[in-house]
This record gives sequence, structure tokens and C-alpha cells, in this order.
Amino acid sequence: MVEPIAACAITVAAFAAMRRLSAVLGHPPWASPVLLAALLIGAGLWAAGIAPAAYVAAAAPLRWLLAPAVVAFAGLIHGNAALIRRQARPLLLAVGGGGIFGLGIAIGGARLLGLDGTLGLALTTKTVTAPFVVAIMDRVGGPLGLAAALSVLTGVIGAVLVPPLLRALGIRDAGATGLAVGVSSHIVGTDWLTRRDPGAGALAALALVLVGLLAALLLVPLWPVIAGGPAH
Amino acid sequence: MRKQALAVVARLPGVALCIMLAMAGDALARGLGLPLPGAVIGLIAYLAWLRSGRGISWAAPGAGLLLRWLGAMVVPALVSVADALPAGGTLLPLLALLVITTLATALATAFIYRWAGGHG
Repeated sequence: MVEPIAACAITVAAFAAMRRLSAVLGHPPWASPVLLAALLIGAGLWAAGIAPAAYVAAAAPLRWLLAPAVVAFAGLIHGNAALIRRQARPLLLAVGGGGIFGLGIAIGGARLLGLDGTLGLALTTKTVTAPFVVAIMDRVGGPLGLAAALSVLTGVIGAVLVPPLLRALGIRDAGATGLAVGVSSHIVGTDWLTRRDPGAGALAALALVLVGLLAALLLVPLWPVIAGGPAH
Repeated sequence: MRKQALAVVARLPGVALCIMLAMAGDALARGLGLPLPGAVIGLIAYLAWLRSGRGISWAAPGAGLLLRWLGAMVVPALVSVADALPAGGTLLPLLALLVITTLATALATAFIYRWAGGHG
């Protein structure tokens, strides 16, 4: 039995310590505070002989705060309204196109690699941010826990690998970086980018919210086709 | 001490507003059977309030606090990955799929943005 207050306090403390470490190192993508904090807590749980599931259940209040945090993105979007208005057309095309592409290759790739059943269904929302995943899966009755875990894992992979890839390709502007990180790596990537470049972070936040909306509007009506297709 | 107490008090209204908007959005989404997460309805309401220019600056410190700790909120979900990942032959294709689709999605988004004339 893990006390919720202890689980939440340890999570916040571990995250704060790793964020500090990341800042000292100059925010390199590989030092993702989310990843480092999860590894630290995982190691601690293993050493103390506590089942990860018991910790995750006790830390539920933190997950509950994700919904108010999504609301708080409004401030970030509003603060960068001028930038967004100037770039409205390329921004909407990139987020819409990138978002549909991301949803499509996740579903298609899972079929291609024979990842079906529950895992295949959980993969449909990998490019969607965790609070939207919870809402969508709750609504269609899909595998909520696994889908949320894959969403955050996707965010960590993206936060670590997307910035160096973009840099290697000579893509450095806030617009392309922010949208690419927001669509592909949602919360974890956006959290990292916001600390490094608030303008790009605002675009990433807008992108993850729009992709979440797009996913909810597409996946909820299409769910019977996805869940009842050749994967089953 | 006094300064820290004031900083906490300054953040409370914004946190409370975001929680209330998320809960109200949730009630609305459930009541009307909308396919949207309640939090998104809350976000749209907050954004509309900000855009109306009717002064809601008292909420900014609290909203900023929530965003600063967003990373901490998803740490438990990442810890649960250890339990959720399949063992054996499925693990490698799954990880390959996650890496490839994530990078491809990022590139597609960046290239569409450039192609559509985005800059800066």
C-alpha cells in the first residue's frame, strides 16, 4: 500500500530534481526530466520492492491534474496569438496534415507489423496527448492505461530524438520546430520546448491541442471500423 | 516567508479556475454526449474569456504553475510502461514502430509547414 500523498510528493520532488539537472546541463534533449524522473522512481520502487502498479495507482491525483493543465494551455496560446494569426494557413495545414499522417501511419504500421488486439488498439492514439487519450479511450471503451503509457512513451522518444533530427536537417525556426514537436511528441516534447523557447512552446501547445481535437473527432466515429477491422 | 506565502496565494485563483473549467467542461461533455474531452471545452472557454479582453490576468500565475509541472503529471504513466510493455517477440517491433512513426510524423509536419509558406 502506497500513500497517495507520498507517491505524489516523491514524483514532484524527483521531477524537480531532474529538471534542475537538465537546466544545469543546458536542457539537452536526451536529459528529458520526465524520462530521468521515471527511471529514478522505477529504480527506487525496484530497490524498495514496491510494485510499479501500486505506485501508479497511488499517484492518481497527479493524473487528475492533467485536465486543468490542458485548460491552462489557453494562456500560452493567447500570449502568442499574434504569431499564430500571422501563420494561420501554414500552421493549420501542417497540424492537420501532420496529425492525420501520424494517426494513419500508427494504425497502418501496427497492422503491417502484426501488432493487433489490445496493443494495436492502444497504438491508434500514440500521437495523441495523454489527457485526450484518457478522454477518447474512456468514451469508446478502449485500452485506457496501455494507450496512455504508449502516448507518454511516444512523447519521450520524440522529445529525445526529434530536436537532433530537425537540427541535422537544418530546420531551426520556431514555427517548424514547435509544430513538429507538438504534433509528434505532444506533452513531453512541449514541456521541454517551452522551457527552452516559449514562443516555439506555444506553437507546440497549440499543435498538440489541435491534434487531440482532430483525433477525438476522427477516432470516436471511426472506432467500430478500427476495432472491428482485420486486426481482430 | 511572507513573500513565499503571497506567491502561493497569487497562484490559487488560477489553479482553481482551471480546475473548475475542466470539471464544468467534463459535465457538459458528458451531459451532451460530445466526443470531446471536458478539458478541451474548458480550454476553449478560458481562451474565449482571454480573447474577450475582459481582464482575467489574476488567473495567469496559477495557469503558469500548472504548465510548469505538466511533466511531473505524466511521470506515473511512464513508470507504468514497464508493466504495460509486452514481453518477448512483440517488444522490438513495437519500439521500432514508435520511433519510426514519431520521427516520420515530426518530419511530415515540419515539411508541410515549410511547403505551405510557414517561416519564423
